[in-house]
Amino acid sequence: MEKQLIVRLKSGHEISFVPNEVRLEKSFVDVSALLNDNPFPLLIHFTHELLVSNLFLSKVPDCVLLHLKENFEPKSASFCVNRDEGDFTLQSQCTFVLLIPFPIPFQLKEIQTIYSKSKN
Amino acid sequence: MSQTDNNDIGASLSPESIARGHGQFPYVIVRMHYAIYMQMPIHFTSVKTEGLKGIIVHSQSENNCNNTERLLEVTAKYKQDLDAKNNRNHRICLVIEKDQAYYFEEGEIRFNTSIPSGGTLVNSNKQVIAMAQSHFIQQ
Repeated sequence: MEKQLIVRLKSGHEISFVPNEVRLEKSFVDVSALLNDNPFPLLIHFTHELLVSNLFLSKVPDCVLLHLKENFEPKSASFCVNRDEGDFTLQSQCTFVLLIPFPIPFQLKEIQTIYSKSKN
Repeated sequence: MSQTDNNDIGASLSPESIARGHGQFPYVIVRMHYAIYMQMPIHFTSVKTEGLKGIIVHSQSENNCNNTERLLEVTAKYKQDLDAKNNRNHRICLVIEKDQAYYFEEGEIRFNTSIPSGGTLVNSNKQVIAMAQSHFIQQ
């Protein structure tokens, strides 16, 4: 069974992602290292009980981070666009963070809902 | 078609096919049969242009290739027309980059980092333009 995350747009289109899901009990993650074994689209599932998680994004290819609640309802989004050497860290308060590579196929304001379903 | 290195099997895109827009991102792949694919270049033009083969999109924008949302709309319309014309459901794929594709199958649009490759590649006239090679121009 593979998990699908489906982005339903206001236009009626639905775009499906089968993410590589990584469950993390720690609150700090080096995303670049994570991507070596888990390419885009990447779903990070934080299972710790702290208020925020820290995502170290230096050297991560350009992407969008969708911050999702436990029921995958979108809460916010961040753009990761690396242009220079240097540290780039982001905080998230959400259980799930979905990373989709640039260019993304929709405008953020066009998202109606995001839901999950399993498929054989 | 161009012959590839003697150690490789197959044939890559010829300069003539490349000049017609084949092998350049973005493009649409239509699965014709098992291991037989048709490649449709996407041409964005601001004026009416004669002789172009593929999916012609009239647009004044200069940023079409990075506008994935627009490309999805164009591909969805192309699939709708093709399905209606042939009275069957086609499996097609919008290829954005060498590691980004959107598959239009079973009523959904599905992202994948794996793009169609190999097999026999034909153009819109069903002429073979590449065999057992990548569908895009290798840099």
